[in-house]
Amino acid sequence: MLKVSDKTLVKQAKNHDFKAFEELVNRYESKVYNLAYKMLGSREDAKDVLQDTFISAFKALDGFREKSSFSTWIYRIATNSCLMKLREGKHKTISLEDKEFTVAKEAVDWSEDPSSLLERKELRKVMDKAIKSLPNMLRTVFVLRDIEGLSNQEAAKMLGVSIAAVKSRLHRARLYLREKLSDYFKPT
Amino acid sequence: MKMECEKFLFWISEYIDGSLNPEIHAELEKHLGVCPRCKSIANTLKATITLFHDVEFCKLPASIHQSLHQALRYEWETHKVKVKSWGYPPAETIEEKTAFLVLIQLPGVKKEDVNLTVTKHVLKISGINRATAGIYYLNEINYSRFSRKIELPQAIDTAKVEACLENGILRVKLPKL
Repeated sequence: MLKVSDKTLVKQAKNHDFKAFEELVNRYESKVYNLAYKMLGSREDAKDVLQDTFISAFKALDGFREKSSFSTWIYRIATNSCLMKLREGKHKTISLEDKEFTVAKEAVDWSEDPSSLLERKELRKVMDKAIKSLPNMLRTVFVLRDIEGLSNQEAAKMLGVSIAAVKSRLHRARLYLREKLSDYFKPT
Repeated sequence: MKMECEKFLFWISEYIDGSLNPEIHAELEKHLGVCPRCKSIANTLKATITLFHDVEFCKLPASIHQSLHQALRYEWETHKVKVKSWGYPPAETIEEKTAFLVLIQLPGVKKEDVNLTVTKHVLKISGINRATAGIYYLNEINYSRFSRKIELPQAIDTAKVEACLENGILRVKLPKL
């Protein structure tokens, strides 16, 4: 069966078709849940964000002008919801200025075939731990830029910081995460 | 660490984004050609980004999926101000000797959920068809708010309108003026 496009489903949902809206939810709920988990590092919070995101989307559907795709729109809502949660302040912040971001002397090239690497459960655990250990300020920039694919400008606007700050945080976050993965791949 | 390597590390993030000016980019490119260590840092940095982008840390638990859909259904039923109006609910107008009879299909709708207003020329009906709470495995019944205006062929006597809802059909009798 031919897959109906998001665009068509949005039209149908706007036209009071609840099943079309449910189909959109089915398509993106897992992605939104994972995005929120990457941003917040907690399943409980990811669940809240998931619910908030789709209820907000549902309420705002009439006003969605479709200048962007549904996926971009829904991730944007999810991100805002995550940032609100972070601002609520329940999440601990580590002073990142003190954290050292170094690159090990020897560098092993483990970059072959990332998709088969992801089948390793142990690696996923390492990644989970690594991203959680990033300070919020770095993690949010990393998620916005490299997971959601926003531009430096967009990320800066969303976070209310300068573009230079986004660039420098992204740089540090990437190197930090790379280092954690390199530790895992280091021959023992 | 060599100067070139330090410089490379400083710019590495923007280098892999391709956002550097052409001169610096070319310079770094040249360095990569001769420095296997920096080359592997660049490769693994790109791989890091791909891995974090693609990874799904957690499968969405079925219970969360269900409670989300239930919450959305609740929102849809209760807060939706969106209104069906074209051709819904299905209706017909029949002319009798002294009155017009309007029949409207409203299966499952309760009397208290229906509003009727009449003017000399228009019968307006609105209300809500409420969903049953629960987890849905099959859902083909249309639940929604509805609102419909039915124009009458000639003026009616608004004081003598009668209506009754029985067996899922709303019958409105509108005596001619």
